[in-house]
Order: sequence, then structure tokens, then C-alpha cells
Amino acid sequence: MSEILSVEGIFVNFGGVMAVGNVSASFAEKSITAIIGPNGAGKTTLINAISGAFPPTKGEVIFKGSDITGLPQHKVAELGIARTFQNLRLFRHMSTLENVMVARHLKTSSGFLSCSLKLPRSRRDERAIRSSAEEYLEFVGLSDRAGEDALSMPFGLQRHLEIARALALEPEVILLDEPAGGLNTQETEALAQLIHRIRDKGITVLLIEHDMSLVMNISDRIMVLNYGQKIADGAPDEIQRDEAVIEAYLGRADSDEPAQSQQG
Amino acid sequence: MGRGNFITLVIFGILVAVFPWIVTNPYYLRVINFAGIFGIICIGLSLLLGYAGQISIGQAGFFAIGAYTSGILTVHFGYPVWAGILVGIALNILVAIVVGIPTLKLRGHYLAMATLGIGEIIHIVAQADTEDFTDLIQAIGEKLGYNSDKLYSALEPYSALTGGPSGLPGIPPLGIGPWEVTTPTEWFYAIWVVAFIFMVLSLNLIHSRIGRALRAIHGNEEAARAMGVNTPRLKVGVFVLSAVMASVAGSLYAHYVSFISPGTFSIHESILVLVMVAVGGMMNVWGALVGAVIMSALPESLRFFHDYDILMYGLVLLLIMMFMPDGIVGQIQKVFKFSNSEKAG
Repeated sequence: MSEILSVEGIFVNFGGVMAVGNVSASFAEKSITAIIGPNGAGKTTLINAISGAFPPTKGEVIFKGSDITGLPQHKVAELGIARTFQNLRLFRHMSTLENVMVARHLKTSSGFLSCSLKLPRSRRDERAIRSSAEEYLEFVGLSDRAGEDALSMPFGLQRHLEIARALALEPEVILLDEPAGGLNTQETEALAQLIHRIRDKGITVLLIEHDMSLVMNISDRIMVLNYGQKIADGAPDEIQRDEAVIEAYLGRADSDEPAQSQQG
Repeated sequence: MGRGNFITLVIFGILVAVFPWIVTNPYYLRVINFAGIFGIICIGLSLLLGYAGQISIGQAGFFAIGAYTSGILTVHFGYPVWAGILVGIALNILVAIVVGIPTLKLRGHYLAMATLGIGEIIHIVAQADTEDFTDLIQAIGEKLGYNSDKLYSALEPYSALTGGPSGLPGIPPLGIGPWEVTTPTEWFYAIWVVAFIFMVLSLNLIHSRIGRALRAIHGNEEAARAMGVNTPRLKVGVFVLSAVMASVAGSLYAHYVSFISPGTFSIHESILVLVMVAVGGMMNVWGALVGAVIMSALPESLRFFHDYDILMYGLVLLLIMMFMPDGIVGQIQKVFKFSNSEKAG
């Protein structure tokens, strides 16, 4: 399998604090990779660096062979990297369907003039936007909620909506930031199936997750961050046996030193 | 644009068509004509503030640029009326782009302060004696060794362009060829047909990919960027659009009143249009027109309170803001359970 996305020597500093330090990794096409690590390990920061939300201080993000480091977020989305947010960021005062319709913005191009004059082109765009948005809602099973105010839906469904919205960009890579956060067991199960179906569409999945059973169940590969550094990278069963990972999560068993001494 | 909006638009169209037959009193017509002029500014501000979520306390500045461009070009340079309006629009587009690119990076109070500043700068320029500017240019020219007399004759026509604090009189009425708009009824149609057209264009825009992207910026700017919306460009775009509408309103105002002076374009006017949009309901573009009409008619209908009319005006405003935070149109929608967002059908 060829690689579609890679990061090389990524550093992200916030003032004097190093949130991500020298992380390099590459992600194979149509794979599911989980990024795990304790809170504050720099997982979301890494996703922000890839998606252009917060460009890295140093290092490169390579997507399909070209350098996309520091491109504005909307450009990154246009090139084919979509994302969801850890704390849901749905559009307020808009229906479920409209939330997905926004993501079809890039697939159409009529401008201010054509839209306000309702030229044939803008009508055509509008029909295409609506029908494809409906397809994506159906893909995540939200068709019957199309007209509802997005923020009035149950939390689990809002997570699904965020995924539908990201998929509507027709990305090649999707970055899921804690998609199971706040979900119950059944919802998490449904999410696992959804993620498999996303991969089956040929989309490369990168997810940050704390739910270990989900991570071990669906990932082809797991990358572990701790204090902004990559401490392990491999198949799920390798990671489960990895000394450094166990130590990062549970502390050292045979030592009187606390785990925090690893810092820096 | 959805069925509800279409029906409202038809009712609005009929209302515009028959209004001068019902109300013939020229004084009332004049009040409603000014309401229409403000309504046009408010439609633009509603798109900017209610839909895209970007505040501007400088709309009077764009209003002034439209009015003064029309006034100066027709009075001093003999331009036809339509040309003055078009140059005003072009000038406003330019100013809105130059001002919008840096200021729309700001948010909330900072954006409010920046736009307030821009509006005030334009107001001050309108208020200043242009003679001061030409004197300054002449002084600089002389220092650089240019011929003083030649400079004087070159700059002379520009020495009283705006009329400074005393204003610019003698602006011709609206008209094309021999046909001129003069009576209050004719003006009613001229102003309200323009308002109607802007309303149709705005409703089309709102229910398109652009309108949706603007609402997405309001709904969650970071998510909008992540969904591929070029937020800086769209924000500048809607800012320019609001400036264009204010410009047209300014040109109409100048030709209607035939005399403009800086007092009409102060921060008071910028805040007035903001209040109109808020009272009408900023989450719906119809609120712009409703607010403009109510806030124009209110002071007139409070006249019988004599010296207390300002007090009553303030009281009405206070009550609306306290009990109808979504504005009048927002309240009506709540009552009838209509939604301004397009539902599944």
C-alpha cells in the first residue's frame, strides 16, 4: 500500500510550551490509523497542524507528494483532507441537512452575482448540493432528521452529523478527533461500523480516540504520543505489549519514580 | 427561496404597488420614503450582521460616499444622474475592499470599533472644508517648486467640492432623459422598487451556496473554514455588498432631498440603522425593512407626546429589546412556528 499522507519532523510550540516535538509518521492509503496517548499528549495539536487550523512551528506535512504545510485551512479541505472536532462544531441555527449542504460549497462555484440573480447555474448548483447532501445524511443514517435543528439532536447523532459533513467534502483523508467521546456502548459499536464503511469507500482514516476497545478493534495501526513525542507506532497487538506505552498509561511497575519523571 | 418567503414577497410587491393610493398625504409619503432609503441600508446590514455575523457601525460612511459622489458629480461636473450612482457604487466597492480586508480579521468589539472609526473618518472628511486640502496640496506643490498660479487654477475647481460644514445644495432630481422623479408618489415608487429589487436579490443570495456559507461563518467560523469555506473572502464580499446597498441608498437620498450636509452621515445614522435591524429582527432579512419602517414612523407617531417623544422612543426601544430579543419578525416567526431556515422540503 502506498502512503497518502505523511508528517516529517513536526514541531508545534505554543509560546514556550512544546505541544508536539519532532513527530514523523506516514499513513498508508485506505488504512485506519489511531493516534492515542494520555491527555495533553499533543494528539489534537498534530491534527490541527495537518488540517491547517494551527500550522506547525517546524516540519512538513506532505499530502499525495506535495507539501501542504501552512496552507490555509480551506485550501487543505479543498485538496482532500476533512476533519471533525473533539468538541462538536456544528453550525448554529441551521438544520441537519443545511449543515451537510455547507460542506458541498467547494463542489459548486456560482458566486455572489450568479447566486443573487438566481441564474440557471446557481439553480443547478442548488439542486446538486441538496441531493448529494441528502446522500451523505443517509450514509450516516440521519435522513429522517434532515429538517431538524442540528444542535437540538442527541449528542451521539450530532457526532454522526459531523462525520457526514466531513464526508460531504469527498475527502481522501478524514481526521476524526475523538469520535466516540460521550457515546454509549451501542453508539460506539455503530460508530465502529461507520468507520469501517468510510474506509471501504476508499478513504484513509486517522482517528484520535481514548476508547481502547474501539481502537484495538478497528485500527490497522496505532501511533502513541506522550508529551508531544511519538513513543510507539505499530499494529494493535504490538502496541498492547509495548513497554513504553504501558508505562505512559499506567506508570512504571517496578520503580519508585513516578511516571512524570519522563517529562522533557 | 422557499414558499413562505415567496408569498411574503408577493404581498410586499402588492403593498408597494397600492400604497400611494391608500396613503396620499405627502407628509406621510415622505416619512415612508425615508424609511425605504434606510430600509435599503438595513437590508445590506442585515446580510452582514444577521447572516454573516459581522458587525459594522460605519454604514453611514458608505451612505455618505454614495450621496456625496452622486452630489458632487452631478452638481460640479454635470454628470448624468445614473453615472453618479454607478461611480458611487464603484467607489464604495473600492473603499469596502480596502477597509474590509484588514478590519474583517477582527472580531466582536474590535470589529465594531474599527468600523466605527472608518465611518467617523468619512464623516470628518465630508465635514472638512475641501479648501483646506487644496491649500495644503498647493503649499506642498510650491515647496516642490511648481508654479503657484498654475497650481491654483488646477486646484480651484476642487476647492469647494463637498461644501464642507454648510453642505452641498442644488442636486438635481433622479431622472433619465426628459423623465424626472419629482412628486412624493413618484419618489415612493423609485425608492421602494429599488428596495424590492434588493430584497429579491438578497433572498436569492441567502438561499444559495453563498448565503449558506455566510450563515456557516456565523454558526461556527472555524468549522466553516474546515469545510472549505474561504471565510476571509466571503466576509469581504458581504461587506462590499452592504456597502453597495448603502451607496445606492445614499445616491437616492441626495437626489431626493437635493441637499446634503455632513450632519446626515454621522455616527448617529450608523447606530440608527443598527437599531432598525435589531428591532426588526436581525436573523431575518425581512426584519431590516420592518425595523426601518417602524423606527422611521415611531418618532412621527409619538409627536403628540410633545417634549416627551424622545423619552417614549427610548422606552419603546427598551421594551422591544427586553421582550423581543429576536426582533419583531423573529417574534412573529416564533408565534407562528415558522422557521427562517429551509426545512427538508
